Amino acid sequence: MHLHRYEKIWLMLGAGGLALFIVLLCVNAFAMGMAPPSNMEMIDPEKVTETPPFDKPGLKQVGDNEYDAYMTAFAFGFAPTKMEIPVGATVNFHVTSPDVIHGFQIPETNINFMVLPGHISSATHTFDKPGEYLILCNEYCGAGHQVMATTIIVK
Amino acid sequence: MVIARKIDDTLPHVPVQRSAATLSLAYVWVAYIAFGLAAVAGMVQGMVRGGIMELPSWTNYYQILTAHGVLMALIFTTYFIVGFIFSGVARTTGGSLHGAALKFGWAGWILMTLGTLMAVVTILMNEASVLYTFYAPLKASPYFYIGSALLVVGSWLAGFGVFASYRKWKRENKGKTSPLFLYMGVTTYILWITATIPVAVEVLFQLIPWSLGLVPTINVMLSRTLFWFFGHPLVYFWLLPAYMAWYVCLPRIIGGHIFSDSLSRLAFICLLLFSIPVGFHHQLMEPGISPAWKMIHVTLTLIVVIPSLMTAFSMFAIFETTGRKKGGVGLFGWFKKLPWTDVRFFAPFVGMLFFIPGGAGGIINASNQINAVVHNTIWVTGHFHITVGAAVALTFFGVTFWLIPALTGRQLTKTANRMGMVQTVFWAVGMFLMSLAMHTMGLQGAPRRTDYTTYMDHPLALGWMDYQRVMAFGGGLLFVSAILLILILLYLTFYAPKGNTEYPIAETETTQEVPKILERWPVWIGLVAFLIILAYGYPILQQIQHQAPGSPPFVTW
Amino acid sequence: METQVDKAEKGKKSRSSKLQTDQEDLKGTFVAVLIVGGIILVGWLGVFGLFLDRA
Repeated sequence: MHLHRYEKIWLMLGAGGLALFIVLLCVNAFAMGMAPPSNMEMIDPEKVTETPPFDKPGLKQVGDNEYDAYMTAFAFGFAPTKMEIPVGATVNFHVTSPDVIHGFQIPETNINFMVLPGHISSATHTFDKPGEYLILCNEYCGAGHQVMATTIIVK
Repeated sequence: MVIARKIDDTLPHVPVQRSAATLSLAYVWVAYIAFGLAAVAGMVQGMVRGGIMELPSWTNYYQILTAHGVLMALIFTTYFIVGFIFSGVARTTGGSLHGAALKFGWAGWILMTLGTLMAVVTILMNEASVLYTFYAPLKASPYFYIGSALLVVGSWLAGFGVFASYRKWKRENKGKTSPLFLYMGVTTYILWITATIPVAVEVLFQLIPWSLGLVPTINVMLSRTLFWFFGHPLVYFWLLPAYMAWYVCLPRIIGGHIFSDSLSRLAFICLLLFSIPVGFHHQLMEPGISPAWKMIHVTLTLIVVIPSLMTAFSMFAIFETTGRKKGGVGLFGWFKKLPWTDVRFFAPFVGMLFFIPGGAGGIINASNQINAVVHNTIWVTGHFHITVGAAVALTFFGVTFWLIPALTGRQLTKTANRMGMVQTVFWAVGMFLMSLAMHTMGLQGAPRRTDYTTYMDHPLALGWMDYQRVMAFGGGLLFVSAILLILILLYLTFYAPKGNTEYPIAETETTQEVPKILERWPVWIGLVAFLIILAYGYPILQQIQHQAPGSPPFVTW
Repeated sequence: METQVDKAEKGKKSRSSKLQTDQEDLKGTFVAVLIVGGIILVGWLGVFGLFLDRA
């Protein structure tokens, strides 16, 4: 098998570029703590409404300007329906589903994960700018999927 | 060489004999019937999401979305690929398929068509609006899953037909290197059969018993893992036949040669090895899979880019060497010498151009945490519309323009060629506008797979409306193109004048040594198995041993 | 189908096949793939930038 000289250079550049991507991703994910949301906790999907803390979905202050948001994503909505936090607050979202698979996305942030029945998904974001952030379901979940949304108000 | 070409052209071309041609046409035409129906569904979807029309009460967006996805991504592609590979195998092994291959071919067609009808009927009855990913615990009618299983098993039979042809050829040509097309066909089916085993397991052992009510709950995580174990090689199953047309047919069409026989085979082997153990890159944003395992799959995914980089080089090299022989000078002079008015070249070439941003977008999608920017946004929809919907589809169209007349013994007339050019331009412009709007909106967070909505008039969502209209306009152009395509294909099948159309199969310019190792299948299948166990063995074991409480079925549409 | 002329042609070519591949002028190809590589790099860095910006 004979490779043309230019092809050799091209493949080395290509492989080098891909290796660079992998290194950047690894450093960012593992050294800077930006790995994708991969929470391993589980829950019985048929008992979500009776399992604390998801029996009472809501915000809980856990630090100076830090909150835990325990939420449920269900066909077709999110609980709680109203959330308000101060500017600069860090929110740890913990979300699960009592029925089918849903998505949880806050556009223009990196909050974007799947909500699987039986699992608890977690991700953290710090809201530095005030506004009414849209939270929407981005995984098809049934006839009312397009209305499944809520907001989080940052003041 | 010039003399050789002239003599070659006056000789009757190796025909594909009637029995093989009929089989191939039977597959290709089911593909285009599915394509036509899917195009109607796609156009309607675009109009609805663009806010241009509303659906009557007897149907809904997600039913139409399911029909579009299943018919385009699963039925059109699979049927076309099976038909194309059968025809090319016949063409490169002496012009016919032997008894066993034909029997497998027809048995496969019958099973696949039965399965397709079951799936389509359940979708039409609104009992299977689960999209083509059918994620549990959304529960479709058991007949939808049984239909899908028949489709898969039928395609395996077709694969066995190709394996039988390969074995027969090897028996009759001891010690010789197999024809490149045949080799690539075999590789494609090894990929396909390996990749469909997990989804067959999911359907047979999880979805069917659960949807029949025989078991109360399902392991959702495991079903998703098995689905994506299949889901990513599925896209390579679409891509490999397009690469076959690029590597083997296109050089002949432009009057050139295969760039390198061995490198083409090597690229296919790399694609076979690394396109399967990568499914977690579709599950990067979900719980229950550790970051380390995600990163392992991401790394393997990026390795599979390398054979595509090789392909990019090979394609440009074929164009450059051919263009230079035709008198092209300077850095890009050869570019002008390519047959720009020949739709057999033009359509796949435009497809290749789409594959550049398509490939670049794919690398972004698979990049671990970066996936958060685009996951489940309409960017992803834009991505697979320029990859499978443009690069692969345009290549398939370009192939069909010569394949159908070659099989029916008719001519690809000047008029048909010109109409094909117009059709290609409509498809390209439509796809460009639609996918550009989708990519842009996706970066702003607009979700995929979602009916028209303003999210209670949220300002961000209202900002997406203009893009959605552009998307709908692009969809309209695509629909016009689809109608035109069906008309051209009807003409080529039934009305075009009788005559010879070439089945273009290129050869290497010089005899090239092909390393024997490339045809030692046990080695490659062993490596595939090793990589799969490496990438999936432990995670799947974990998902079975430490599974979340199961999910009962839901029908939410 | 292989004609006599084709066969003769092949025989002639195979003698020079070792040299042939590197002699081919593939400057245009090289520049073209570098452009492809550039598109991949710019696109990737762009979205990575967006990701860091949104964190």
